Amino acid sequence: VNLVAEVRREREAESAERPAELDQLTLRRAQRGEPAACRALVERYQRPVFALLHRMMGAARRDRVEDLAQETFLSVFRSLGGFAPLGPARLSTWILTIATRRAVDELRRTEPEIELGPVALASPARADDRARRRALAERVEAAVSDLAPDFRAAFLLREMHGLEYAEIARALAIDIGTVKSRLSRARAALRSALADLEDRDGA
Amino acid sequence: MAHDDDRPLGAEERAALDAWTAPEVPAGFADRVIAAMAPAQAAPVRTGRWAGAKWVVIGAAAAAAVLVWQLRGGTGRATATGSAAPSVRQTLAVGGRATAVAEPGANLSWSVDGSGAAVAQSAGDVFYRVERGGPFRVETPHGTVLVTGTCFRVETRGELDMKRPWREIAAAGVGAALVVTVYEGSVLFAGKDGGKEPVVAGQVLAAGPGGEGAVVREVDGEGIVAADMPAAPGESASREELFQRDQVQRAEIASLRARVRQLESGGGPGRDPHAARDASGRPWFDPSKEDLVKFAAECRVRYDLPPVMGTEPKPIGPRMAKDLGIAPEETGAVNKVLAEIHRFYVAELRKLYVEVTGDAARADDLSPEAMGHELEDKSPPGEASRVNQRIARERAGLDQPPANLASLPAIERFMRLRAGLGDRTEQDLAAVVGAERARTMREENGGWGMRQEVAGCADGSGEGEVEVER
Repeated sequence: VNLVAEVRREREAESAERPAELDQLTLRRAQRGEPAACRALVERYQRPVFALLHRMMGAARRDRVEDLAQETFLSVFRSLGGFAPLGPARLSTWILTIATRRAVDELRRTEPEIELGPVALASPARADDRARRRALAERVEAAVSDLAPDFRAAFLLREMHGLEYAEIARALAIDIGTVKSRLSRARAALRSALADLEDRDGA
Repeated sequence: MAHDDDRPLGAEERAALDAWTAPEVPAGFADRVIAAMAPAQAAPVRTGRWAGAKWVVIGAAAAAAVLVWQLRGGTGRATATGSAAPSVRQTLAVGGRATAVAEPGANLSWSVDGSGAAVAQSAGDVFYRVERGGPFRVETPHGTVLVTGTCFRVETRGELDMKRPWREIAAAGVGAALVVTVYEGSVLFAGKDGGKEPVVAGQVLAAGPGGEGAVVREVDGEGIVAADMPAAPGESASREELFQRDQVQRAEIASLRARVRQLESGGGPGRDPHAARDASGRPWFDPSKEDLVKFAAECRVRYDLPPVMGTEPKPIGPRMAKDLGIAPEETGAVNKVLAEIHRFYVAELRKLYVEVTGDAARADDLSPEAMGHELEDKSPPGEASRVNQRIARERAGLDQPPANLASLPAIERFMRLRAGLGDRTEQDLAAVVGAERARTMREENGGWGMRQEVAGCADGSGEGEVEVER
């Protein structure tokens, strides 16, 4: 085991949803429209895009995730020629920005088809670890789904995809103060939801 | 202004978020994107109104006469027909109902009207993206697959064997004449013998020529991958054995296709890109003089960096220290050096950023990586390549380094800062653990954890490639 391998492992462990950036040579080939390079780009970033859209759309609009993911990548390829590899945005951030805007537009445009009821939680006192994780996930999803689309987007980009405040500000076309404000509200909502879960734990 | 809750998430909150996992990307997604972006041969590919659209993935390996079908009555709109037998990959619009990507060797024809769409596919591999609206069916020499909302794959196989009895096909080790694997949703398979079999996600159907003897069983993905390649089945091979063989072969084909894609994208085989030493046996970050001269011709600069891209230093933990052979009492000193290098790098970068942008407040909001990107973005076109060229020539001994670094443009100072950070780390660490130990640590690891290699001259020579490894 060496330092390079260790650092690489740690980076991989951070999240499979935060892939290393596509190398510049492949990016340039994709900009020229070479199918193999375009495929490499999709395969590199499809997981974070799906994860973001899955969490953004929530249970009520989960059937739209794949369509939105595809529209995201088609939009990426339409605009890829104008992407500056040495510009202020990383390719991953740029792609996530496109996905975020599509998701926010979709959420604003349509009313939920399914209203989420109270989340049924397994009793953590009796549940095994798997059930507890599922209950946690349901609680988190419910809390995040209650947020307005813009707040949800800021929260997910920061906490699940590791974007900097400035990157989120650019993605959502808002200033950094607004980003911080939205993150603050989202974190408070999450803490409240988890505190409620702990209360049930203790009950 | 303080906000209601500016605290970062704690460990338990983070664990709760980590529990909120996202599902895997659906199989074949990249193929569908590539298919949709390719210019359609017969009509533009529609990218909107895809809600509820389903994918059909069909592969056929048989070569029989193209089937003829009759669409049932009802002609609410004009009939669209077409056919294709491409020698290169071809994207087709199937009457506005589907986008098809036909691989070389495929042979298909279609007819679409107000009552539905029917495709006859006698050979080859074809991907379909099917729009919502009316029945959609795919006919093969062995049966018909009716789309009921799903993502699935159909393979017909055995060009010669399909004319032989099922038992002979089995004896020849070819396997089933027809295999339907369902990834999502469900399909209804109708054999030529009149039998019907529903197949749902996670199941695979195998049938003989004409669709007789259809068997449905669960697919165990892990088992398929882990299974050893069985020997060629004998005359008495059971359908079960043929099934297993088919699945192993399918996994192998998928692996080979992935490898082909990797090769197509430039990721071909070669020396381990993560090796600590280059082909000549020298440390990766310290090429030979001959290599440096070659690098100069390509304006190629290679350097390593400690972990400085994040907002905070990245200390070595106990496990990593053990792996590196660093004693516990030594770890603190090493981490102190890494933290100091991080502080130095961020401070220098921040100065450059403020110099270029005049925005000190923004510098506080950006990570070192983001500041670096913005510096590069704000440099004059081609300047980065010219700096590369100068550094590469200096390293090869072809030019003298500038006497006064402070007079250089900000982008050049930034690039020199990065390119020299590996050496600076070694020097600082040498003061703590000794020069020999610091050098050994860097050599054994092939650098300080992050490598960059940039090539390409301002005049366009030198391939113009950039490789980054983290």
